[in-house]
Amino acid sequence: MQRKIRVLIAKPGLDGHDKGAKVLVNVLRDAGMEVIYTGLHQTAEMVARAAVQEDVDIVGLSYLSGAHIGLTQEVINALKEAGADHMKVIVGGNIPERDFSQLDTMGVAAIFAGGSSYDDIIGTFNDLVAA
Amino acid sequence: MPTHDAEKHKKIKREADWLGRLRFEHEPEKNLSYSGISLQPFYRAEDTQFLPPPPPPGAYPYTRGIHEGMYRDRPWTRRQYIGFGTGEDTNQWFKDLLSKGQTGLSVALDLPTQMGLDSTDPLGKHEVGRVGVAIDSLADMEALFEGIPLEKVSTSFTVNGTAAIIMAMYLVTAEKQGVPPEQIRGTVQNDILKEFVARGTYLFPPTPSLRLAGDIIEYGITKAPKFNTISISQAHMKSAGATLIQADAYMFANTIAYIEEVTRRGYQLDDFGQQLSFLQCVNRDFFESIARLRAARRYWAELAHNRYGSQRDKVQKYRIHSGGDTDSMTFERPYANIGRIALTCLSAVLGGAQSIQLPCYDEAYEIPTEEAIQNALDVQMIVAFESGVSKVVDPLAGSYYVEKLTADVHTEFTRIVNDIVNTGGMVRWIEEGRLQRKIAEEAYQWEKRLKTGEEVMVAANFARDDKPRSEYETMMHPYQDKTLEQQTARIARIKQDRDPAKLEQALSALESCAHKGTNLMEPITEAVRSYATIGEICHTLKQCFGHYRAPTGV
Repeated sequence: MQRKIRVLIAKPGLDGHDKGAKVLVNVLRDAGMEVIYTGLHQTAEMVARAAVQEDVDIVGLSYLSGAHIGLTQEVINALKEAGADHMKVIVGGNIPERDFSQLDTMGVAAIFAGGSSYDDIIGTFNDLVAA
Repeated sequence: MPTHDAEKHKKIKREADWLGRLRFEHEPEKNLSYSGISLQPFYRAEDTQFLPPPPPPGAYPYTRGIHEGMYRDRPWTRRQYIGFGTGEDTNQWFKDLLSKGQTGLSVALDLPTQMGLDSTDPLGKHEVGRVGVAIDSLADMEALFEGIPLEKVSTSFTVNGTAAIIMAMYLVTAEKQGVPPEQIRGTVQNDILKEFVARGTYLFPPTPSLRLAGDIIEYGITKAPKFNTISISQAHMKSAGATLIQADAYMFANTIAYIEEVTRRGYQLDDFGQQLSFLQCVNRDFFESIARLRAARRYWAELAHNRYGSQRDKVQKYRIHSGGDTDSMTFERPYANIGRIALTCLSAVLGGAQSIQLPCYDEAYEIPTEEAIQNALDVQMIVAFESGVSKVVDPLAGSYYVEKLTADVHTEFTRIVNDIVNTGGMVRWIEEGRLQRKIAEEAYQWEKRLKTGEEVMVAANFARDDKPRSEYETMMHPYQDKTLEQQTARIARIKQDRDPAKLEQALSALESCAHKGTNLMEPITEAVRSYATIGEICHTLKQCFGHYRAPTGV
């Protein structure tokens, strides 16, 4: 039997708004994925540790406070440090389009700004793991 | 174990029976209000014949308003929520708004300030001055209110985990302006319990957090009697996913926990009740919003009188800070949000709010721009001075529909609050993650209903707008990159200028009070006076209270 896609949804930084993150956890579970949610106030090291422990395929980072550039770079560095740079990093939340290219350059595999459709997210996750 | 499971099943079933969007799924044919109250196609006199007509405005239980004259005597306070960058940056904006129609201040603090971290702390370095103003020490508070006479203006701070420190800084700033704390009017949100289920700015475990909230309320009784020492908030739990009526009921269940934290210290509700204020948002469903504010006034008055023996009308009067919440703003066609804002404002006014803040048309993107704040303020002034709705108090009273809905909402408040209180109370619900689960489940159901189009959001899922976000992003509020640098310099300066012996004495007095369990406000005030940073004060408290990892509910 095919291994289920394993996803870590994380909230790096100090932002406490996680309705979107939790809804996504439920959406992805309903789509048949194994999903772990870190809870709030995660450092980059905490996210990387959880990703390695849970052996996930995808690390999804959710931001609403505007701190996505700096924090995403920290998480990507921490994953590399932990020998987990094969994991796909996804960014979602309140992400302005003007920041998309910078996130791309960092190596973010996909960006889902507010208003994205859940079907798109599920489809992208499936494609990323199949690739 | 079967007994346990059966018990659990029963509990879950009862929770699910609460009115809410969960019910909607099973009764698609029903005509329901936003929060799930069953509606008739029209209402008749017979529908209200068993409901006693509410007494006039200004009379217990204040369903029709807490004052006889309401807006005829005094318009509501127009208070938009702003803050960014340094104290100086926000100070300029405050002065500008006060000259263009704002009548009270509402301070947005950045996340490090709300989480008890200095701007220089690596955990918060990407967040400095971003969603609010950065406050590290008394020096920043002094800059924030430079040239603003604090005896004349009332200021509201959306702050919870660090409310005690921010309140102390504000009172010391006023004292330095020559204004004694007894004359200061203002509000600290100080509603830490809801932070565990929405918004997330908690620093310590629930029990010491509740103690600190109680310390603020207790301190205010004699030291700052005109200050609202708590603003018990419904809006954030709604934003996290609860229905409006559920969130109202959770707010009242939290209120009971706060009251009992203070009464167990030997006080009566009448000693501090007039310093409790409430933040209850209105949203989407116009008539349900109005009914909720009317029902909440009655619910509070009866709770204060019947459960806590209140004899003072000032205590029984439920004072509402209202407005909308940002998650009702769409990214798509942001100017459509101005229509939503206007309806929000009108429903808060028809519901009888004492002060109003509105979300802004660009707020789905970023913290609002100056133009969008002014627009929200203009909407408030148009409703206040052009529409004529202020001329008659509680104009919807006697409507069969509004009176019936008010009574139905009141019944639901009673049902949900009693259920929480009878099954361990709010602190236990939070510690066990029960409330978090309930809210997360509602949020998911709502998203499903948006996806199927059962619920409409114009431009988002109806008459959809497919322009890329970049088309609208020119309107975003710019971030001040230099804030971190400026705050770092100011921290270095205060650390050089302050008296280290005085500081050390203040921090060790704070630590010993934390261990002894005595009121923390005096030692926090002393620490603030000696220019301790927010990070130093919170570090001292964490030594005693510890950290907390909250259940997430998913």
